[in-house]
Amino acid sequence: MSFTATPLDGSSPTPIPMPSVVPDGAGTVVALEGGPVYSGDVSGNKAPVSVWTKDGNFVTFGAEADTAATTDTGTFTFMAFFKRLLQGITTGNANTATIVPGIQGWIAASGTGTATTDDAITFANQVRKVVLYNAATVPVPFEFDAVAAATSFPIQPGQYMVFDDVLCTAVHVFPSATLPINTTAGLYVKGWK
Amino acid sequence: MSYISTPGVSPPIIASEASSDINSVAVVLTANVVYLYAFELQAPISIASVRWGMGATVTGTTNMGIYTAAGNLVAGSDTTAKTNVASSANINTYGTAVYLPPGQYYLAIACSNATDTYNGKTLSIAFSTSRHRRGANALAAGALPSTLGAISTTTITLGVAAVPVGGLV
Repeated sequence: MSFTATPLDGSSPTPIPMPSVVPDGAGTVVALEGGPVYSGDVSGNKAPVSVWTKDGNFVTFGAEADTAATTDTGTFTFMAFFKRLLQGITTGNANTATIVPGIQGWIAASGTGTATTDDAITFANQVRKVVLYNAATVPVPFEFDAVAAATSFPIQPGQYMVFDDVLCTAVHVFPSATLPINTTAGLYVKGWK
Repeated sequence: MSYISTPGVSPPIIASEASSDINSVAVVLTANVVYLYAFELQAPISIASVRWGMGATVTGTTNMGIYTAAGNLVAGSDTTAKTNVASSANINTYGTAVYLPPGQYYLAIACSNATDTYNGKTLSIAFSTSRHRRGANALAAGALPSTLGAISTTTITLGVAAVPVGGLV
């Protein structure tokens, strides 16, 4: 392999060769990158040198392509742990109600109100505020994030309930007859973060 | 802030009692006119049957139904023409109970002739001080009109009732 000439600093009349390196796989000699003058140096004539480590060469830090760690305490690279942390934040954002509750953009609840059984009416995300309206002609026993039974606290026909700070993901019902959900003659279930 | 409403209690019967709880069974109607009795619901119910009282003279038929306060016929509430039975409470039980959400409604009744005698009262003046009214649109071909049209007062007050599922026998 042939190499190009060492870079010079351009000073006159005798240019001074600059500290240089040869990038991997190339024959071109290039000057080392340097930072600005180190402000802590009293003489004002020192500068740091940029450091670059090949992806994966820092064994503990890991590589860009490392997969997310599968446990919090196992043996993984820093990159793997960091990806696991980001995944946790993403999951948390989806499942945790926001700190400041709002009334816009209710979260859909879906499920089937099968007679005489515990039915989970599930929100797409965890919600902080829940609104229930019973448009059916019979009382509907219900629970938040728990199995409902015939003996659960009922919402009466025509009754309207608003619950704050429930932090639930599903309203369970135990209807005595087939119960439409979020439609005519049924139970309306709405949630807000 | 959490909030819980207090729902109304479903009635065991919706009845024009002032007109039905009297010993009068000689009221004749204008044929095909839809007579109304206004009522309100605080809670959703399903109507299982509608009822009317007949006197001794019966040669025609009766339709009963339910209209919204806006004057629209509630789907499935027209009984179709039912042959009147003399001197008794006539009852039409719906094949499918008629669901009514909370709101204001009219219980409607119409007769195919002007000779059958009904339980009720005929007033000398069409007062506007009760729940009884009549619609402008008429019974036709054995079916209640889909809308009531203009609503006005009437001298005819009939003994009519609607009974929810689980209500009075």
